[in-house]
Amino acid sequence: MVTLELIYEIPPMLNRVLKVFVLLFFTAQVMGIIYARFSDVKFFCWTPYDQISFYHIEVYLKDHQLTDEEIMSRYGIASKGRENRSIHNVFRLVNTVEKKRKQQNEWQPSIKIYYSVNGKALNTWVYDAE
Amino acid sequence: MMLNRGHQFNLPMYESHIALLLLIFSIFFKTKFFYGTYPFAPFIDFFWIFEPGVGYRILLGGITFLCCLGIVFRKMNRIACFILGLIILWIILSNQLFYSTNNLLLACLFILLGVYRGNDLIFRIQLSILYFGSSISKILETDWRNGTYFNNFITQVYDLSLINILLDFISVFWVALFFSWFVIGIEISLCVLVLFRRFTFASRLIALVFHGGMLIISGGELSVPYFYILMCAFLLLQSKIEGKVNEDAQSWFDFFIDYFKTLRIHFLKLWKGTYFQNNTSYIYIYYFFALIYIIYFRFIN
Repeated sequence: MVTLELIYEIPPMLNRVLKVFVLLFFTAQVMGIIYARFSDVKFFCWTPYDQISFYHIEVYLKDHQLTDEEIMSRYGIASKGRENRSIHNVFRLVNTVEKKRKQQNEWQPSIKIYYSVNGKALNTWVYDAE
Repeated sequence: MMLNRGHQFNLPMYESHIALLLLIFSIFFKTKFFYGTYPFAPFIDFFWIFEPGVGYRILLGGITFLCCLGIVFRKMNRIACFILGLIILWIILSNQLFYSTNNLLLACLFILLGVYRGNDLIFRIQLSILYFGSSISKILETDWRNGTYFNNFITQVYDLSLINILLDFISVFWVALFFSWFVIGIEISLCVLVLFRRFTFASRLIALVFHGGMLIISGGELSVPYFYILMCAFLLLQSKIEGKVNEDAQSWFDFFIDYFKTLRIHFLKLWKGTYFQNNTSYIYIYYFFALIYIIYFRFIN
């Protein structure tokens, strides 16, 4: 096993700061992995392609159904697509955007996301404006 | 072991090459990181305050540009890597759409290159954490343990013609189960192996075959950036730590001139089979493969 000693000679203070930084850097990543175990949302936990979901977003704003282009410009993702991490990441994205729009006193839309995780039965997620 | 006092601001030559390889790739595949982006659906609400700021975008783009110059011209490239890594992390945190494992890994590698002081343990721990996170999530997921994930993966998500040949002989259930546990096994092995210097070659080889295999089988979907960035991370692992002396005095230009002068020696080494004993002696091969890889996946495929 390799040792933790540094090879290049650097000032002791800088050495100490770097070691603390590196320690915190790795601790944060491990915390991210542990946190992801207790959360549906999977960010910062090194889990690419651990769950594949197909989804379809439907948004109604004042009785007008948003087009694919409008959904793309509103959320930055396609109205129909595939999520390669957790489908809850998509829900979180939609929630974040709508929360911001709500703060700006914009009209809250009615949103439904139809999704299927790992080829299983279709589910529906409904946006809660409250 | 020889000590060097001149490495405060510059990375050693070999690591500088890897930083440059990462940067070249990022310029072609991660273009959005280089002209600054507005925050959009950030992970932390704090980032909304930069939303309408043109100045913010110019500042971010300007610092990124200076970092690129530092890495390209090997001037204070250690600091340039560190700042560039932080900027990429900042951009990810300010925009959920930019979150991806390969973007995060890119940021981590640049940051670690910035704090690198000659011991590759930091890269080993980074890779170990990566495979730990990846394997633990699969083991705890029922769909992975019983093969449901791979069943869907093979039959619904990708047209995996290579695996479909197997399906003529074995039922999809067993193929899916085998691949699920094969992937989990490889990831657990890599999580442990990368920590040991004596297994450097073995872990590199396993990673190359495993991720390269996935890349080929999925037709580049799994995944062009991830494979490249991960291979760069594996190249940062050293089979032995050598004292690196007076490298700061050598510029990129001197380095390449020396290389052309000793081209004959390289051919001789290649002929005698001793070529792969020294890290920096086969750096051209990395550039060659990187070039082919980038041209193919960016402009042809």
